[in-house]
Amino acid sequence: MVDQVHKEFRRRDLLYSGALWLLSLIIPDPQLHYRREYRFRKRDLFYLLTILLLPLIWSDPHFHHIMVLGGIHGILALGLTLFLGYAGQISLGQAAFFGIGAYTTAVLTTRYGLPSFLAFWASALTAFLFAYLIGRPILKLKGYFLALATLGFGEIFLVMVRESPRLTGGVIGIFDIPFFSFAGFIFDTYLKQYYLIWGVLMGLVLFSKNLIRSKMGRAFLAVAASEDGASAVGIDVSRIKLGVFVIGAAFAGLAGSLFASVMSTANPETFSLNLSVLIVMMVILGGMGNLYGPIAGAIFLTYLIDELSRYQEYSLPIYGVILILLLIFFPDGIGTRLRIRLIYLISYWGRKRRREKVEL
Amino acid sequence: MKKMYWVIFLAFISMTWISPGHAAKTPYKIGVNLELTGPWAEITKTLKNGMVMEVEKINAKGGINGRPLELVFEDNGFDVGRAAANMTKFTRDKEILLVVGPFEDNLQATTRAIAEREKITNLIICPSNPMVRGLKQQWAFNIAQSDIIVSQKLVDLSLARKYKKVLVFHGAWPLAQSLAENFKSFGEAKGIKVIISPETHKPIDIDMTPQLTKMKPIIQKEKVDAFYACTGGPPGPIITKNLRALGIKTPVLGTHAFGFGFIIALGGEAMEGVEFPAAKPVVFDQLDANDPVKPVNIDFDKRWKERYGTPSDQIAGYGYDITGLIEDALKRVKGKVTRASFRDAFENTKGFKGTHGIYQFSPTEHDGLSKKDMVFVRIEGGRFKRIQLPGAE
Repeated sequence: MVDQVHKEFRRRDLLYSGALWLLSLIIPDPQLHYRREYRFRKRDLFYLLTILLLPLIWSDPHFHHIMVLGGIHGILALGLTLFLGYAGQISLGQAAFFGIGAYTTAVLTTRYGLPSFLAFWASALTAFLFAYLIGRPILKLKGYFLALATLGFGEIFLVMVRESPRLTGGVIGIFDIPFFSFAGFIFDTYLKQYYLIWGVLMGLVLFSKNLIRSKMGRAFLAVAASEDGASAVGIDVSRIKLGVFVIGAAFAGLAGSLFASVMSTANPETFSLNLSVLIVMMVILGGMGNLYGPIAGAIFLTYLIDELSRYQEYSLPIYGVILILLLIFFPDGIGTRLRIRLIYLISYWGRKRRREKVEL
Repeated sequence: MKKMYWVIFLAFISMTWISPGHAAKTPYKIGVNLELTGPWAEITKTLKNGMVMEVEKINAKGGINGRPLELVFEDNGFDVGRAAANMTKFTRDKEILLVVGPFEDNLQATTRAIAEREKITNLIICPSNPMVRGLKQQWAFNIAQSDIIVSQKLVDLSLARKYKKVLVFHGAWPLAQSLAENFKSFGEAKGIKVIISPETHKPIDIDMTPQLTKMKPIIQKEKVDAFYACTGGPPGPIITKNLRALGIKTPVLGTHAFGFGFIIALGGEAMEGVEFPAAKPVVFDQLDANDPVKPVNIDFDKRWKERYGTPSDQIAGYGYDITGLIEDALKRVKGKVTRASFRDAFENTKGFKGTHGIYQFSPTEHDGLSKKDMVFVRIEGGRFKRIQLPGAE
């Protein structure tokens, strides 16, 4: 179908190709994990410059705020895409690890006066430990059962938070969490928080890029393809699954810590099932099986939800319709095979007209 | 398939559509940040209708100082992140003078912190929990009766009814919890024994029988005089119904959130005899003849019925009060109207007559209403009936 389009060249194709070239700079490459080694490419420079310069060019606190939230969601989606996209396991309990991270930071900074930089790492460590304890038993499950087990963990976490008011403040939660600060530098404006969060996100993307090229990363793909097959070639399936689960949880813990310091509150309503489903949606919409797609999905959904706020009562139905349309036209996510998908969509009119001509 | 493209096209068109303003003079813009979707959708819609009606009335009279009011609504979908993002959106817009909402306790803490940082007035309808109010923020004001006033009023009611032991069954959200704790502290100071049940409920629970069955032995063993359903919304009638179905005849006390028509409709027969302290709009036709709030309510209810065809309620009344308070403050601003001068004018509100009562704000008191602005109500014959208790008014 792609060949057909290129057979006859029309003037308006020039218009498309310009747009496609621009898109090709941004759109992630689906073949990423088959490349042999990692080189710093033109595209990475483009991303880096965009992230660094965008908030300065578009200097608007609301835009910064949305990008801060989008970045936090991006960290969550990145953690989940390793588990869901690469290792092929499903988790509906990601919000719980996010909550563990947020509460760890909240408790350590407000009750024990720990610097937020230490609390940040402690959050990742706590989420990591919880994931290890939970993951040992439940990762023996597969498919729907794993989804249910993680869902159950999310609910248990919420009940524990609500019923232990001494530690977590119960339903009221914890207020007045200080802003993130490092060596006396306080991240108190949205612009500073933007650079903090996107800095962390870039670090995690680099980590994930190296991870999926490592021996362990290739084992993820093998486990996703077939667990029996993977164990037949000598991969310790349960160890690999546990490994990717705790890494995803640690990412969520970091995101939770950043969220608590940005929002300055932590309360149980935030970490409900809705958030877990939203993160899964970001990963699916962004495209499973690559790293940039879920981040794009996270920013897109955060921005979309915020933009729809002005439609008041109608925001929810419009949101639903847009999601359905996106899943119809981009079933593999907006980040996967986007170029081919767009060419297909753009050429649809031309093909249709030609088809009708032949029939006549 | 062609239709599909039209759908996408229309969706994009509608996304870029911005409501046009045709005002001749630049309006005073008010940001409204509410939970228009999610569990509070119905209540916030009533509030929105009330504010829209009042703003149209003010604009029809020619606005304030010749300038109209304009409401800018944003839905926050019951989500902390979105509520905070809306708040920054409003603070960034230089024309927005103040922000009303959000409604939910958990969301307020964040928006109040932003209001404090960005220096913009934030009017809160439901009072937030004592921890947040304890911060003594300069830019946030509470419109509704606070949990402290409601609890004190309820203690008065219990004293007048000579209840010696009260069992509290509270909801698992901040306001219900602080209502229960305040009731305990005020009640025990007055010699009432208050037992707060370890069982709680959530706003979405549709059956409380499991919790109530566990509490039944406590009710029988301790011989409690009254059962305090410390909750709001649908759980109120559900608790009363389940309690009666279990054969418990103990009198039930409610919170001020019981004063809605749907509460009686849901609870039916079981609601008979439930008593609670209520805001004045609930029984505005039964107020004393010389009550200054009575004519305001009668006028508001008439206009509400003409426009929406349903009886008005407390929340609609808040719509009137907020818009009226803003109008009142704007009229009193001396010189240029800015965010700071508006805040100062609002803080000096003295004796504004709303539907709920007479509002008094001061630099030390950011809760507008006082204990005098509440009455006692009993449900009788499917209606709210005002009761007068000598010595407790």
